[in-house]
Amino acid sequence: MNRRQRAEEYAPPPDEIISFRNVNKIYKSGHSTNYAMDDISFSITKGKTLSIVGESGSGKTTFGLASLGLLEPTSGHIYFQGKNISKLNKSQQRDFRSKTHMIFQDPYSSLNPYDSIFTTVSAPLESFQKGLSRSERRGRAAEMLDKVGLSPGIEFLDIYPKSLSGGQRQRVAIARSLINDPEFVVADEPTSMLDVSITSTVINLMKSLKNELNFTMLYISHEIATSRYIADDMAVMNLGRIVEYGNPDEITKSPKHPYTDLLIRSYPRAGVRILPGEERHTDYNVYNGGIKGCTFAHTCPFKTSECETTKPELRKISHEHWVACFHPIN
Amino acid sequence: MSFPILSIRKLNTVFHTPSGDVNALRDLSLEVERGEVLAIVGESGSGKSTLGFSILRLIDSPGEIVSGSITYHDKDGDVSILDLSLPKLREFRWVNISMIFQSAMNVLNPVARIERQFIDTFEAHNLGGDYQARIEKYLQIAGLGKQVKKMYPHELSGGMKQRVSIALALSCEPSVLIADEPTTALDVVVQKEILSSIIKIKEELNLTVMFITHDLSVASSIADRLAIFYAGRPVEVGSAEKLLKSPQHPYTAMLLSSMISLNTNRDAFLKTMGGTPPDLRKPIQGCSFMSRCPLAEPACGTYDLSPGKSYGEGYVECIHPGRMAREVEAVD
Repeated sequence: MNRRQRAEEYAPPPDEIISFRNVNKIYKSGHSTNYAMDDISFSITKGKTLSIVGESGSGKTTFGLASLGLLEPTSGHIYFQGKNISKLNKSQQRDFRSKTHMIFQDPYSSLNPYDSIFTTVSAPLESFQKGLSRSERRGRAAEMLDKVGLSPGIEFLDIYPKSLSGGQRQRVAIARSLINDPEFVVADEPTSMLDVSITSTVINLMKSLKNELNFTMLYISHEIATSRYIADDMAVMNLGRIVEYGNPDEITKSPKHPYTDLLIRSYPRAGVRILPGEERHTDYNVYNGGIKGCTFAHTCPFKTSECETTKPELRKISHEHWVACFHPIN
Repeated sequence: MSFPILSIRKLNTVFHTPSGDVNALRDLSLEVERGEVLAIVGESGSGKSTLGFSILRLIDSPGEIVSGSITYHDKDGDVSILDLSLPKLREFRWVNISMIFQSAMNVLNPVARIERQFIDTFEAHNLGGDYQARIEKYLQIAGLGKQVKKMYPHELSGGMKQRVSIALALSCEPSVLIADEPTTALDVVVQKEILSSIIKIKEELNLTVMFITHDLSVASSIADRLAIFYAGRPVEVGSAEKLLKSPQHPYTAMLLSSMISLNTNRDAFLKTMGGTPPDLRKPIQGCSFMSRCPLAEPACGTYDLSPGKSYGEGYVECIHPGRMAREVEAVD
């Protein structure tokens, strides 16, 4: 196989659904250059929930959008089931679109206020299952609404988003994303606009639907506890790179990367007092632009000269744990 | 013996909307003790921000404070905030009570240097003295270098902007600082740094802080007392420690048990709270949490909200306080 063919198609391992190969996404504005994805090579396992945790500017949303082909990487290739998603022909592209879907952050802006719940939820069927009659689509939509806990679904079909609460709207968005039996779903901060008491019901719903319908999910969030709870695998991103990956319990119980450790230590815990003067002024997000060494070197308490000159690659350190660090925490 | 700095009595704030009057605050009474950090915790629509805005009289049309009183206990005597004339109110605000707003990004004027924004504040309050020294002092207290004063907002990160708005809020040396979700838009690492700064500043300047948040974990990690808001009233008020250990109101108990932490069992479903808060356009009889409460009984519908009662240390608005927590414990 020559190189060119390889860039378009390959036979993926059976448990792989999405694969990133040396993917870069660079945003330039004025004098600043931002690496939203900095040479990412990474695969998503079929049938699992992968959560990506990171702060704003870490590139997690860019990763999610790129995996759906919603934004073109600056360089590198992304494969869905072994096919390069930027080299698909028209019918392959339709097939790819019909198998993937996204749940957005804000259910107040992701639903068209002028469309009834039926129109919204059944839109993927209208696009991808042309043979269905209107009454069949209504039936499927009502069934899906029942599944997401808006029951009886039939009574929600003809109402409009304005009469729904935030939690109900997010359920509608979830119903729309799952009605066409997608194989891969990206959920980008799906609960950050919701109240605490609603968040847990939406997370429970996503977890049970995932088990029932057996799709692959990419769950993107800055909230580490929810990410740990919902995920089978977890990846931590910092300034465009995946710095730690593995089993969510292992990562949260014994983080190996100093950045992950900082994230976990900063997570607010009920009743654990924050003391005066604990601040360190780590405004590290300003430092993004083609870093040679480790992205966390400027803040890291364990850095050596190697960290500033050489890029640490993700390496396996135990059965279910990978870290990109020269001096992982013991 | 308590020494409140703010006493709020039977406060009613209403938003007049086309679909009816929304009673955002319902006969709310609360005391803020001198020198404490009081966290106001509640979900959206519970009235927590409306309270902050009402205290500074920043409620704009279609909102209106319809009745009640807010008293500021100054060293030189009491000030009834709702009775101040507009010029007096302008003098009062910021010098006695100031506020950090939720979105630091929108607080700053994008086309003015940071120092200009301070000078505007000083001029509005007729403060004399050395402006530059004053600006540097408060930037430093908020954890920023003096080079920041020559910068424009777009040159600052989110955390730095929030620090500038903290510095602005402190710049007229108020006694009370109302912080309305000051860290909600920030990442966890920066959030912890800002919270830690607020605690430090509070101790250095002997401030009273009213901290408004939807996040019970954040609230309990910095507050001395918590006031849990539901449907326009505090349903439980108490010391943070006590309230976490033995919540008295079923809503507090359910909020606590539905919180997700890094130790939550991944193999079980999360505990949830069914239902939605009541419609504040309609009058509420008795307990506002009744429709979602597993312990509800007919007597809850006639529960007396004891109008005018002032809340000291520990208060709960429930006819069977503590029962929910005990039952949750028994099940676990």
